[in-house]
Amino acid sequence: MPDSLTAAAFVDRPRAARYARGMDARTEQILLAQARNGNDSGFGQLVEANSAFALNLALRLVGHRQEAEDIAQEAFLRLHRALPGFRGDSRISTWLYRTISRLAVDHLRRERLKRRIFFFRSADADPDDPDPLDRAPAATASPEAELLQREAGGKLQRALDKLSPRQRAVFALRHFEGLPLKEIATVLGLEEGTVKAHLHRAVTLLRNELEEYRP
Amino acid sequence: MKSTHPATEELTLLHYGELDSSDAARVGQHLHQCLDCRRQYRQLEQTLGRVQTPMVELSAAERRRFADAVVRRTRRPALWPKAVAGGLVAAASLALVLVIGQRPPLSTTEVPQLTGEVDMLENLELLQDMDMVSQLDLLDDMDQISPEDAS
Repeated sequence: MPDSLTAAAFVDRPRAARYARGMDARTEQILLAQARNGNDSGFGQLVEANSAFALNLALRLVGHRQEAEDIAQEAFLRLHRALPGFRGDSRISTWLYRTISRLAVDHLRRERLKRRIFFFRSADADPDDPDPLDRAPAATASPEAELLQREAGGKLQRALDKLSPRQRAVFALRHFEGLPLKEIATVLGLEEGTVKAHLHRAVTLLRNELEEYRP
Repeated sequence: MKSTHPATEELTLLHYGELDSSDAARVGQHLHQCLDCRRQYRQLEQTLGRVQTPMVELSAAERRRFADAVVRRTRRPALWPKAVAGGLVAAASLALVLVIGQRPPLSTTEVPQLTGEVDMLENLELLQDMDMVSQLDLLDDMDQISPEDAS
């Protein structure tokens, strides 16, 4: 399997329905009840049915396959811990949207902070600010990494990497997942106006970055 | 007559269908009339159209493997928090014992004098001396002033 978004298969303008997501609500409720009673098989079936959705969502948010898999696994572990209080009023996919999006934003922030510390940069800067380091070419890029970056997806990956964690999350949820801004605000715990501003900034930055590569 | 140019944010929101109906109609009407804005909107659509969605297809076997890995992790006994907490308590106890054991006993008759304190006292004396010298200079100056100058 490819390790990063750059080598992942790209399809145009999919919506969430493009991949088989979960199962019907009734089956989900039955399996949830089984899982709550400690039935591993029931929980396993829930995970299996939602795995493609969770992995793809995480991949679109963070851009790397391995990191996406870690985030998706962590989300399911949290679901398992939350089972006793999970009433099932909402679908598991709704719960996963919220959990995976927030895990992804946290992950992207930690990664930024790590890079800043590594470069002895100010750690007290706003993690939502675009990182000036992103504008510099990677001095230590391996020939393999350079080759990957030359691929079409690499351009998009680099542009997405320049977005702040929240901008990226808002963009991914709107552009890739097709969620309305109101729902994105709920998922990320933000005001709708803030979500609009993040989307606009993300689109402006992507336009500027991708203009250079216009065919 | 052309209406006011819409903000670029409005073009973004129009693209994503996030403008309310009256704003969408206003911006749409403007785009119909304004070539520059229409060009800008077309560029926006082209750019965003190139941002294609990454997609990973998982085979049934991969989904199964993923689910098995998650279920295995849920079965892991939650021993590590207890082990870590126990280790921390032991380390803290050991550190406390070492600190108490290495601390020199305080004599009730001796007044402990730190070198820092001695240095500070010497500096204070030096400061007092300098203050006296400056006052002497002032007195000397006053002596040099004649009674005529003072009047």
